[in-house]
Amino acid sequence: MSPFGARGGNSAIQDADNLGWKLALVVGKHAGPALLDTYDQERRAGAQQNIKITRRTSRFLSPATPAETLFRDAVIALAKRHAFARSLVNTGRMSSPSTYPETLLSCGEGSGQHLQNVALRCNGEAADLEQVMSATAPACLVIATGSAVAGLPVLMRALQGLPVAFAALDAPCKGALHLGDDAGRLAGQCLADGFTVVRADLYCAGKQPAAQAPALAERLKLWFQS
Amino acid sequence: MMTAPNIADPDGFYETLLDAHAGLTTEQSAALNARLILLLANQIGNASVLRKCIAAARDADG
Repeated sequence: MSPFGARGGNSAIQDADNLGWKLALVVGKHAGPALLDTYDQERRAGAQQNIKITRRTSRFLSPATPAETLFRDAVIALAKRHAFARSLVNTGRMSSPSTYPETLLSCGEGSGQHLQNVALRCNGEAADLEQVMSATAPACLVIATGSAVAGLPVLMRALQGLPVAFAALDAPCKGALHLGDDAGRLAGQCLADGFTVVRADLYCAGKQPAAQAPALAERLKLWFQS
Repeated sequence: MMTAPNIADPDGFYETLLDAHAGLTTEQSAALNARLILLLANQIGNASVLRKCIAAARDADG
């Protein structure tokens, strides 16, 4: 792969981020080896996205045919005076987190999207989302907001004994983490009046409305039965 | 993609296009065309329309 945009290093870290928690669950006998198949599915897609982006940069930087040279030169000629042409100048695109396809881990809308790490309060103490995840959630954290908080105990009972953590956003709930989000940075990434499942690698596994708690529990059990 | 006539003065447009190429070498004409394609593509903007136009142009060539 061409290394534009520091993609070699970034994708290696993303590979490790994706695999680490899955491997820990399988080695710890919390999940079967099929969980590891999602590593291949997700990071293969990530590699393909990277290759697609860097191939485009390569074709701009080093045109392979007279026609490619013609258009590259045309873009450069126009870029001085026209803003639109500057957006076509491709000397390398910044690396950004990959989007993952549907897998065993997908359990609703927004699955496969990377979430922003944000500053929070967890049970009153300052902590960012990543710190909350690594301290409490080996596999995932289910965050309930609004009217879904009332359904959290049902979900907690259904998933008892599994390496899943639970949190209520800006609301107390017995047995669940109390996440304070004054700035609304986490709320903006969560489903209002619903459940948002955050994976250990800070990807969204899916969002479900409050009424879908039983279906969500069944989807999450599949992670560990694989 | 629009294929029904949409140019107000077809003969006038065609003449303007040819005049723009007057006195240019083959290479200079090709470069002008490439710049023109990029400028026009930005007027259209819509990715699906652009893809259909590219495919139609490619078709006529084959």
